[in-house]
Amino acid sequence: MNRSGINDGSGRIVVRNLTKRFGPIEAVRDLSFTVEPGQVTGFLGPNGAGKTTTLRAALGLLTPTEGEVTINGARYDQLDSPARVVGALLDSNGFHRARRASAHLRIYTAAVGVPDRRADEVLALVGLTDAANRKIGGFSLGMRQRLALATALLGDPQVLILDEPGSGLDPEGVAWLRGFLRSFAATGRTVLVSSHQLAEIAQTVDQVVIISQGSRVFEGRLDQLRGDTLERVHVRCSDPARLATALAERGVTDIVSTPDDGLTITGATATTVGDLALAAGVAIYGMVPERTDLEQRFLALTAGQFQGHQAFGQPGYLPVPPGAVGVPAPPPPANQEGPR
Amino acid sequence: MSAPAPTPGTARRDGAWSGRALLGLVVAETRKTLSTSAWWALLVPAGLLSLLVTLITAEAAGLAFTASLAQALALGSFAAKFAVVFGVVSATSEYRHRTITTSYLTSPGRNQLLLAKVVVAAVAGVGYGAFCAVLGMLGMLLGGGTVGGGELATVLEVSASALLVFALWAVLGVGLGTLINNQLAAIVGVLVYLLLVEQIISGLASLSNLGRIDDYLPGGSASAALTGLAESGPFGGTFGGLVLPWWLALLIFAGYAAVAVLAGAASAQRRDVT
Repeated sequence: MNRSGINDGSGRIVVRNLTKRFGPIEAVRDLSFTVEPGQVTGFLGPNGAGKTTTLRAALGLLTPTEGEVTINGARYDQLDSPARVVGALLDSNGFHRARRASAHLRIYTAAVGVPDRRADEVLALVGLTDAANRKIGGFSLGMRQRLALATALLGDPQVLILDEPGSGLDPEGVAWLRGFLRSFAATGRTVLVSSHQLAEIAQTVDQVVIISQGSRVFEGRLDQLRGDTLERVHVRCSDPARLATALAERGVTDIVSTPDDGLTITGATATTVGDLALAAGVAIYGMVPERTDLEQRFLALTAGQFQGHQAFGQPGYLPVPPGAVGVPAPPPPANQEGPR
Repeated sequence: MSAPAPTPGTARRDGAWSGRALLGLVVAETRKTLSTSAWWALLVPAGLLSLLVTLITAEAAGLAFTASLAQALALGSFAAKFAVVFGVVSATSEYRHRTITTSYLTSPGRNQLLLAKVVVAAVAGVGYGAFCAVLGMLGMLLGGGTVGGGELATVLEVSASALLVFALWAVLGVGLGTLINNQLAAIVGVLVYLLLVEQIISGLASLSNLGRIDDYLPGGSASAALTGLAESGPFGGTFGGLVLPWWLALLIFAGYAAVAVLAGAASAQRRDVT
């Protein structure tokens, strides 16, 4: 389809030193990451972190201030039949409300250059066949999201880019979307999906890129984000001081005493603490292992987004895992709100 | 891993200009136009106004106006405004309804999309012109006017020119709409200019050393391309006082339409779609 020699067919999205300023506001700052085919990549960050700006720059809708984004080795505006290479869901309000769903899709089948029956196929795919002849103005947010996805799929693209696709979908719709994206990626194609909620996409994605204030703070596999977090145990015992000494002898020194005569120990498993307590003759009344979860990691990484940060989590005990490509969050600039 | 130095943002460049892609975009623009009501909601009043103006002139001022001048007046001074509004709406509704994102994503480039809009607007403009010309002639007959012999040929000449003038008005509207984006601002702006600002400009000019410059202004050149063909009749001179032949006025007007489209293209190429 693409005669252009520029399109290498790799399915790879490469964001290279992307910076985008809107007047005095720096929405994205020197951002680089790569999205590989055959897997689902999550693009995470709080609202205003620069996700939408990055995705719109990738799609040629914004001109970067510096840097560039390539898909299949070419900038979006260099692709000959862009909608056959990339499908994008950006905006659930990008419809003329007076049009019927099928009429909307038949506009873009013509523009993309696919047969009109493709409109019926994608409507069936997203479960909107019954609504084909209804005016879009009467659609719920979830139906508009599904119609936007149907539009993105018209050109049977190799790469799918979705900006907050879960918003407005009911739980059933979210589950369906999850399965759809996984099977889409399983055929060797590329999926980049943004969200401001880790929980929403944690079950879908293989790889995550996390940005905060327009800069990357994490890029790696989801299990890398999860895996290296230190374990923490809360213990109530007969003699906290003695247990603390015993732990210190074993090199465990990150111990905090709590008001309930207990200890919060970081860097030791419950088994280690139990064995040491027995050896030291300290009776244990209760022990609660606390494993920092993904959400806390995410909040800690993006905490700099808000003024008066460290309000969430305790970044001190959450180092960036050594195996991951991590960049410390920069100090908050005067303006951290990117355009939506 | 040494990061390469940031490359400066590069200006956008359009993808392929294949005939097939352009044809697809023209079909898409046609479907956009026909799937909403704007095209007939503007066409119906334009036609009715043409009919009304020629009917009234035939009935009340039959002596003052020749049939061809009445036709030129009905089409040029009244109905043509709807053609330019149609063009503005066809461009700005993309921004108003935020469909511009999908339209850009499915086009090889922004210039290709604009060209498709221009083609469809031109064809629609010819349709507007034909419809209004027919209703204008109908108005004359209903008003009891007689169009005989040589007079009919002149009316048809005016009507033929109106097809081009209406097409250019619609194209100019697309250019303006692409430049301004805001639908209400663009429509109000173009109407205020045509009905008020241009009258003030030509009024001031006629008082100054410049003299009559009507035929060189956008609205004036479009009107002159019609009135220049009409028989002026005993009192027609008030409307004419022509400086330029009709074809030169038409060329000047085509120049304005081209400038509007080029300005729209330049601004579209630069604009960020957020």
